[in-house]
Amino acid sequence: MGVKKGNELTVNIGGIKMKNPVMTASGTFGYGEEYSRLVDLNKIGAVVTKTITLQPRQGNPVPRLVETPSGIINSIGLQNVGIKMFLKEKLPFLIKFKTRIIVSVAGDKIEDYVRLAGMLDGEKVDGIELNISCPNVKGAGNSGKRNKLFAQDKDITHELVSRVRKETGLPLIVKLTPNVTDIAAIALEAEAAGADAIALVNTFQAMAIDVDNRKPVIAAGSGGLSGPAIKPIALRMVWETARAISIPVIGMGGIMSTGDALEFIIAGASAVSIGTGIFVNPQLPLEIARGIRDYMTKNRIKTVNEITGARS
Amino acid sequence: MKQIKAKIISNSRIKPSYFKMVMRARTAGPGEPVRAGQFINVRVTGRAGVLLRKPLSIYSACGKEHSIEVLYKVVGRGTEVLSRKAGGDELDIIAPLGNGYELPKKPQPVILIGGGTGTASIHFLAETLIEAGFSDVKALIGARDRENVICEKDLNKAGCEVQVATDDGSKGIRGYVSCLFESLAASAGPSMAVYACGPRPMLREVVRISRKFKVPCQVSLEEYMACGVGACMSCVVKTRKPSGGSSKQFVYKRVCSEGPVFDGSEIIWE
Ligand SMILES: Cc1cc2nc3c(=O)[nH]c(=O)nc-3n(C[C@H](O)[C@H](O)[C@H](O)COP(=O)(O)OP(=O)(O)OC[C@H]3O[C@@H](n4cnc5c(N)ncnc54)[C@H](O)[C@@H]3O)c2cc1C
Ligand SMILES: Cc1cc2nc3c(=O)[nH]c(=O)nc-3n(C[C@H](O)[C@H](O)[C@H](O)COP(=O)(O)O)c2cc1C
Ligand code: FES
Repeated sequence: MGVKKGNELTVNIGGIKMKNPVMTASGTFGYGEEYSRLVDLNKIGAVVTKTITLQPRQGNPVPRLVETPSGIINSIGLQNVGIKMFLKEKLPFLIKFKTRIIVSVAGDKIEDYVRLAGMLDGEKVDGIELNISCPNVKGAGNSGKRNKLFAQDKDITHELVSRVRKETGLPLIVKLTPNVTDIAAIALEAEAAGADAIALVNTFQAMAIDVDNRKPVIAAGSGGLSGPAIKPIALRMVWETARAISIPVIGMGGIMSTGDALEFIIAGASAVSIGTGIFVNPQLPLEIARGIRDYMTKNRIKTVNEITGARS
Repeated sequence: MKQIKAKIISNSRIKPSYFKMVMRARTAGPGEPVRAGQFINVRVTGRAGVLLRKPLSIYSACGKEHSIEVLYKVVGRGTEVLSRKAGGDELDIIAPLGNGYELPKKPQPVILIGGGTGTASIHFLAETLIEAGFSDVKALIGARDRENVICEKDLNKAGCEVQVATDDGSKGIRGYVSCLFESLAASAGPSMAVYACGPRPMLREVVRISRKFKVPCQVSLEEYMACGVGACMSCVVKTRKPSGGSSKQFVYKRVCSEGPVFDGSEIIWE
C-alpha cells in the first residue's frame, strides 16, 4: 500500500542482486529441485545449494539426524553428487528459475576449493559460498584427534580465501563456523582476503545420548545443532561480526518467523537464510519475505538497508 | 506431492496407545492419486520445542472424498501431541510422499507381512490389491504382545485371511511373524509375491526367506526423516550397486524419496 511492490525488498549482497533478502541455507534445500513441487523457487531471494565437493561423497553412516528440544542435530557428512554431476544434472534445472543461484563448496584441502571455484567460474551461477566449516585434513597433523576446521584458524582462513579470490570473479561468500572463541576476528580475516560477504552461522557441535544403549544417538558420535535452540547465540554472533566488518553479513540460525528474521537484520544482517525452518514449513522463506515487506510498509521503511544494523 | 491443509474428521483411540485419524483435504484435493506404501508428513503444532514433521504411512485413502486415514502409535512427543487433536482441528500435511508398492503384474497369491506399526502400510496395500481383483491375499501380523496387534479386524474386513504371531504368545502363535511366513512359503510355490513393512530384523528375515524360496519381495523401510522430500540426506539406507559387486560397494538411497519401498534384494542389512 503506497510503497511500490517488488523493489523495496531488493538487496545487493556483495554483488549478488536479490529480489528479496531471504535465502535457503546450504544442505537444507538440496539442489532446489527436491522442493520445487512444494515451493515457488521464483519467489526466493537466492537458493544456496547443498555443499558440493570435487568428488561425489557417500556421507556418514546412519543415524545421521535426531530431534532435540527446539533443535536438530545432524551429521550428514556432506553426501553430494560431486561438482561434475552437479554441473551436468542439477544446475540446468535450477537456472530455469528467476532466483539467484549460490553454489556452496567444500574440500579437504585449500587446493580443492581453488579447483572448485575455477570450475564454477564462467558457469551460470551468481555466487560461490565457501563452506570452510568442515575439517581441514591438511592441518590434521599437528592437532589432536579432532581435525581443526578451516574456519577455526585465522591464517588458514586468510590463505584459503585469498587463493580462491584469485581464481574467480564471482561473488564470494565465506560461511563461518560458530565453534570459535572470536568469530569477528575470523570474519575480518576473510574480508581482508577478499570475501564479498560473510554467512553465519553453521551448526554448533553437539550430541545426544541414548541412555538405553549408552551410545551416542548419531552414528558419527557428535553432529551439528541447528534450529531455534541456537537462535539467540547465532544472533549475538551476527551482531558482533556485523559491527566488526564492512562487507554484508548473511544471518542464520534458527529463524522460524518474520520476527526472527527481523531480529537478525536489525542485528546487522543484510540478508537471512532459512534452514531447519524449511523442514517444518517449506513455505517459510516466502512467508518471511512477505512478512518483512509488511513490516516495512507498516513502519514506512523504504529499503531493507535502512533497518540493517539499525539498532536504536 | 503437495502441502495441504487438512481437517481432522476423527481421531480415535483404538488400543491403549494406538490412534486412528481420518482427515480430509481442505485446500484443493491432492490431485495426484495416492498409492499404497506412500506416506504423509504431518506438521506438529501446539507444543513448544517439537519441530520436525512426523512421517506416517497412509492407512487408507479415498480419492473421491479427498480423505486420508492414518494409524499411529504414541511413542514420543510428536505423536503424543497428535493424539490430543480432535475432530475439526486443522493439520498441515505434505502428501503423498514416497514411491509406494509395485503391484504384481499378473494374478497370483500375495502374502503381506506387517510388524508393529508397519502393519499400517500393509493394510492400504491389502485394500488396493483386493480392489484390483487379487483374490488370494494373506496377511501375517507380528507384534510384541496382544496389546500391540493392530489392524486384524480391518484386514479381515478388506478380505484378507489373517494370521497373528506375538513374541509372548498372548495372541496367535508364539514367535516371530517370519516363522509364520517360512512355513507358508514352504507350502506355497514360487508363484507368489511378498510385501513386508516392519522393524529391520523382521524385514531382514523376510528377505532371507524370500530368497530361499525364490519369491519376489518388496520391503518398506522406516528411517529418521527431516525433510521427507529428498533434500536433506538424513534418511538414507545402504543399497547394492546396480552393477553388483561386494557389499562394501554400496550406494546410499533416500528412504523418503527413492523409497520407502525397495526390492528386498537391493538392501544391504547391517
Ligand atoms: C515412512 C514412514 C512411515 C511411518 N509410518 C508410521 C505409521 O503408519 N504409524 C506409526 O505409528 N508410525 C509410523 N512411522 C514412525 C513414526 O514416524 C514415528 O514413530 C514418529 O515420527 C515418532 O515421533 P515422536 O515425536 O512421537 O517420537 P520421538 O520422540 O521423535 O521418538 C520416539 C521414538 O520413535 C523413534 N522414531 C522417531 N522418528 C522415527 C522415524 N521417522 N522412523 C522410525 N522411528 C522413529 C525414535 O527413534 C524413538 O525411539 C513411520 C515412519 C516412517 C519413516
Ligand atoms: C540437515 C542439515 C544439513 C546441512 N548441510 C550443510 C551443508 O552441506 N553445508 C553448509 O554450509 N551448511 C549445512 N548445514 C547448516 C545450515 O546451512 C545452517 O547453517 C544451520 O543449519 C543453521 O541454520 P538453521 O538453524 O536455520 O538450520 C546443514 C544443516 C542441516 C540441518
Ligand atoms: S528425509 Fe530428507 S532426504 Fe529423506
